[in-house]
Amino acid sequence: MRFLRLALYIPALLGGAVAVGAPAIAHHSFAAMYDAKRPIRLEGRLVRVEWTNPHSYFHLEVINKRGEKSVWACEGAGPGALSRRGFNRSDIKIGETLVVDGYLAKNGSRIIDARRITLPGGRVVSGGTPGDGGPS
Amino acid sequence: MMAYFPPNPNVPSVLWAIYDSPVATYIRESENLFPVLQTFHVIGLILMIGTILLLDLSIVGVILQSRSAAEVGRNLLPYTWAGFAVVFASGLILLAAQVGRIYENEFLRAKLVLLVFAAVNVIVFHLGSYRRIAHWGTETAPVSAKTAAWLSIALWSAVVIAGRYIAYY
Amino acid sequence: MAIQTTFDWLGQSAAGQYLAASTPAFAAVQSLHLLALAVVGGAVIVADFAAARILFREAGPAEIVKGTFPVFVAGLAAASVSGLLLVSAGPTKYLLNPLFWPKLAVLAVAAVIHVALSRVVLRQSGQAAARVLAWLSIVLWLSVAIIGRWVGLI
Repeated sequence: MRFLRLALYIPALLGGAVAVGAPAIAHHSFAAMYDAKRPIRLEGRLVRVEWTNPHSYFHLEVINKRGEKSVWACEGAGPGALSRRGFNRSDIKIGETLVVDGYLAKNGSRIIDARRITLPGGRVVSGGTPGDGGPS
Repeated sequence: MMAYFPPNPNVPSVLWAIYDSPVATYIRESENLFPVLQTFHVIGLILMIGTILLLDLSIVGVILQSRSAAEVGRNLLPYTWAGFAVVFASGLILLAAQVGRIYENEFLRAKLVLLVFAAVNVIVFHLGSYRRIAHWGTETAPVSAKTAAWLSIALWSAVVIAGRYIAYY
Repeated sequence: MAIQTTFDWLGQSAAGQYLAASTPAFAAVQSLHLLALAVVGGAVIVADFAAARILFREAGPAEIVKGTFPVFVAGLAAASVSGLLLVSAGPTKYLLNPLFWPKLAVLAVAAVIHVALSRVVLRQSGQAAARVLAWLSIVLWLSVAIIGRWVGLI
């Protein structure tokens, strides 16, 4: 009987955790959601590279029409998927200009789902499989 | 998606040190090692959750009613523990390799909280009704055991779901 | 090509369009796909190891196989439905993925072998055949899980 009561505390605790956690989750938008209806082309100077799993990130310093600079993150697949598509870490260097075609994030943050990357020299490589659920 | 640059100041220095260590960095930047660890994580998960699910279903009386719960537990739990060893070890390594970036990921936090609840359920069950499992025979298990079994099914399913959602933050 | 049109049709379906637009919904279906795989895995491990006389040595394997077969079927049904939904969210992606068709092929063979094993055990047709089919089934289902994981990684 004692353990039955103990076991009943668990759903109560769980219910409490869900009640606290659910609003937080509902409130926060999925930052990784990209919009298939909003393609974009970014051109900028490569300022940082994260050649990482589960996703890689290429940070470009983009200058808009008014001359304002901002840094955008371009999310690609992991190192294995990129190298299988002929794209290696040594293909890019900090300071080089890259052109990245991709899709904008739904929540408006400065990150895109990189679908195609035009390297200095003109070679075009794939950004890898789109984030699961993202547009191809 | 949190950017590495600049590093997230909210990450405790101990965790950042682990994340930034040569080993964790090597795994994070690997071509195949990281995906292989992810594969082991899934295999371990299937072994652990697949077997515990069948044990839970037999305790609540849905399957294998003709066999005693003690016999089902005796046969399956070693595999459940083997699966746990694999999923837990791979999970720790994958977490170490990513913690600097996913420290504030709500689904990671939810998953860890749910894991605690799942563990508490396991402990309460093993210290309680499971000790008298030999006495149940093939009759209906006591209510406390069935409750623990249903909770086990719910909690482990929630852990898997929360884990999958981490990637979408 | 019939396959192309089927995939196009899947992509145009209401479910496909919805899942393509909603990442949370896609994540939910993917999670259910993973849970279903765990259910199938559990049923396959218990039944196949019982058939190979590794588990449940006191029981007759027929009893264990019979008792877990509904779980196997339920899990496989859930995995198939969720899998179909996932494909409908982005058919071209899977059509072009070099691991997708191998996964389906191995899955089909694994299902056939497991069902064949179940029949052999239930008819008590022979120990040797049961053991071979059991190990074959385990290896094939393990392959389905591994190939399935790598579909999203390559």
